[in-house]
Amino acid sequence: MPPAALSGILQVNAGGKAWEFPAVFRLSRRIPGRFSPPAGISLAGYSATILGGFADIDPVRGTFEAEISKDGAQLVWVFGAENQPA
Amino acid sequence: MNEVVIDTRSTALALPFLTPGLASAEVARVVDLLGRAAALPEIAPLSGLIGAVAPVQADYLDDARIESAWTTLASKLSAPTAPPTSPRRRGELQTLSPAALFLKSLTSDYTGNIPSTPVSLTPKLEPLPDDVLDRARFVLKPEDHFNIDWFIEFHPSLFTPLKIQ
Repeated sequence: MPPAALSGILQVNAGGKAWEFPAVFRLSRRIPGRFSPPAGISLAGYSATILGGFADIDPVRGTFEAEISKDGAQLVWVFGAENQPA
Repeated sequence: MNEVVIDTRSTALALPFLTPGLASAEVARVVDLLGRAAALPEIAPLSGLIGAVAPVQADYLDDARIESAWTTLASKLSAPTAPPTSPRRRGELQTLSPAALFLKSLTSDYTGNIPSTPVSLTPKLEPLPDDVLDRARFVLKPEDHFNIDWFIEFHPSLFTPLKIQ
């Protein structure tokens, strides 16, 4: 893993051989998020897609903590249920 | 510390990134697209439509008016931009984007401009295994029986011609 790398392919060198793992490692950071839907939509029951997972959204304030990649653009998507984009 | 706000305007700005050919994780490209999208007059009505439809229809992306506005926005963003005014030095390394490539089977057929070159390449997008960003590798493969010496030549309009041989 190169020094100061923010993302890349993990490679293990041992016994004169190199093995690469298919999964990309990616350093992340956390930023505050806020869901502000149109009038008439309740804040309850929504989650946000973040790096490698989901974050619960505060049902009263609409706030959440978003984990995002340090070296790449990323969509943060809020959803309430399947086929219910926000 | 930045804050990400999810509202109707941010959703309108994000929709182009769900469009094949525009979706990207490259920061420079995303910043460019976001800047251009934010300057387009189509954003405000699309944002308004999302605000009007979402409260009454959970799957608002299925609304024909939103789909049409989304398509219009994506089409405008896909349109070629003006070439740079200052010429780049020949031999300078450039980053190629799919929009800058003109290859047989992808856009126009340029075989008529390539003398005695019956090149046939099959373009493929091979998904990177287990990639959380769902990235894919762009691959060109010649026909199996194709055993003569061949080359691929890129004719990008925005970059110094680059030849890979």
